[in-house]
Amino acid sequence: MTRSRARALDVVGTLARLGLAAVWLVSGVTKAVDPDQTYLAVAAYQVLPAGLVSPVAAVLPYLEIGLGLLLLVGLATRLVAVLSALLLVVYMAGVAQAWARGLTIDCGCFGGGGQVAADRTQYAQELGRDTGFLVLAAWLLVRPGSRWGLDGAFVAPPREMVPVGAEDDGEGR
Amino acid sequence: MAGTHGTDRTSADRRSPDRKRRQGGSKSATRALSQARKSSRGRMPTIIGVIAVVVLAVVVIAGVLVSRSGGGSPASSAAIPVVHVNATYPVSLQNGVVTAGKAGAPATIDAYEDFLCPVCGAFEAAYGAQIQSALNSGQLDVRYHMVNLLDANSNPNGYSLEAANAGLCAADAGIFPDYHASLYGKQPPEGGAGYTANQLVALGQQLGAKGNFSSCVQSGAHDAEAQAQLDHAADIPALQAKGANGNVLHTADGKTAFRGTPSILDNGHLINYQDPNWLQKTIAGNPPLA
Repeated sequence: MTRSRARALDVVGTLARLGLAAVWLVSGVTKAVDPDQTYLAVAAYQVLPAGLVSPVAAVLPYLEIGLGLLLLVGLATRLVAVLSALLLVVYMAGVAQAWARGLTIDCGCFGGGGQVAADRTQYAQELGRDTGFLVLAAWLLVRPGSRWGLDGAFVAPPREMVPVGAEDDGEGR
Repeated sequence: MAGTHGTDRTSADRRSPDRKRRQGGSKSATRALSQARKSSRGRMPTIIGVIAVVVLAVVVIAGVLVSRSGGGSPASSAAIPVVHVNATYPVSLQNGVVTAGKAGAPATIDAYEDFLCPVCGAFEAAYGAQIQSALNSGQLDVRYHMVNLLDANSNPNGYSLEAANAGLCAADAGIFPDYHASLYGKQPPEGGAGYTANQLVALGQQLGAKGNFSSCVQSGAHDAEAQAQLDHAADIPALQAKGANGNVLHTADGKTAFRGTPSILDNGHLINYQDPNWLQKTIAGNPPLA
C-alpha cells in the first residue's frame, strides 16, 4: 500500500469517526435533555417488560454520549465501532419489529418518539438512515485508522518499535 | 497529536541503525525483539479497550446519577394548583360513569378522557369553559368516562389509573367538577411520574372533599370500574379504531381496538370537536359528526 493511499484512507476514516461521533452526540444529548420523552419513545416499541423501560431509557442517552465522546477523541476506535454497530443493529431491529407488528410509532432516534398517526410513520427512512450510520461503523470496524485520534498516539506502527528501551519510548509519549 | 507522532518516528529512525549494528548477530536479541513486539502489540489494545470501557461506564453512571438528582419530578412535592369552575349542577357516579348536569337538558354527550392524555388537556383548555356554562345553564348533560388508556405512558406506570380512580372518588366526595378541572389545569407530562397518591389526596382535601376521599384514593376503590370503562369502550362501534381503508382494527388479543382519548359521543355517534362550534351545534340537535 502506498503512503498516499494510506493517507487517503486515514482521511476517510477520520470523516467516518467524526461523523459517527456527531450522530451519537446529537442523538444522545437530545435524548438526555428530555428524559420524559425518551421514556415514551422507549415504551412505544412495546418490546421491553414494564420494569425495564425506565432503566433503559435512563441509560441510553448517556451510552450514546459516551460512544460519541470516545469516537470524537479517537480512543479504542475499533471497539467503539463494534459497540456502535451493535447498538445500531438493536435500534434497527426495534424499528423493524415495530413496522412488522403494525405499531405506529416514531423511532425517537433524535428526540421525539412515541405514538404517531398511522400515516406519519417513517420506518423505511429511519432504517435507511441507520444503515448509513452502520456503514460508518463498519468502515471503522474494518479499518479504524484515522488522523487526530488518541489511538494513533498510543500505538506506534509496529515496524518502528525498538526492542530495547521500548519502555522509555512509551513514557516519552 | 500528529506533531508528536512525527517527532517520535524521526528519532526512532535515527536510533535504529545504531541498535541494529549492536544487536545484529545476537539471536536472543532477535527473540527479545519479537517478544517485545508481540507483548506490547497484544497488551496495548487491551489496555486502551479497558480505558474506553471505563470512560463509557463513568459517562453513563455520572449521566444517570446527575439526571436523577437534577431532573427528578418537580411535581412530586408541590401542591396541585386548584381550579374552581363554580359548578351549580348535580353530579352522580354509577358503575364508573360520572353523570353531570341538570335533569331535562336537551343534549347529552359521552366524554371518554384520560387525565394523562395531552389532547384531553388541550380539549379541556379549548372547550372546558363552554361545557361548564352549558352544564350550569341546564342545556347539556355530560357522562364522563375517565379511563386509564395511558397507564404505560407514565414513569412509573399507572398514573392514568390512579388519576381516573381519584376522579371517581371526587365524584363520591362531591367535588368532581373542580377536581376534573384542576387535574387538567396543570397536567403532568407524559413520560413523567404523574402526581402521587398523596398529591391527589391533598387536592381533594383542598377542594373540601367529603367522606372517605383519602382512603378511596389510596386504596384504588374505583380502579376496577375505571378499567372496565376502558375495556368496554371499544364495544361501542363509534369508539373502535379504524385502519386507513376503514377496517376495524384489533388488539393483539383479538378484541376491537379503542380509538383513543378524547372521544366525544352524541347518542353513540362520534363528534368532530375540531369544529369550533360543535357544542352549540350539538345542543341545537345538529352535531358535527366525525
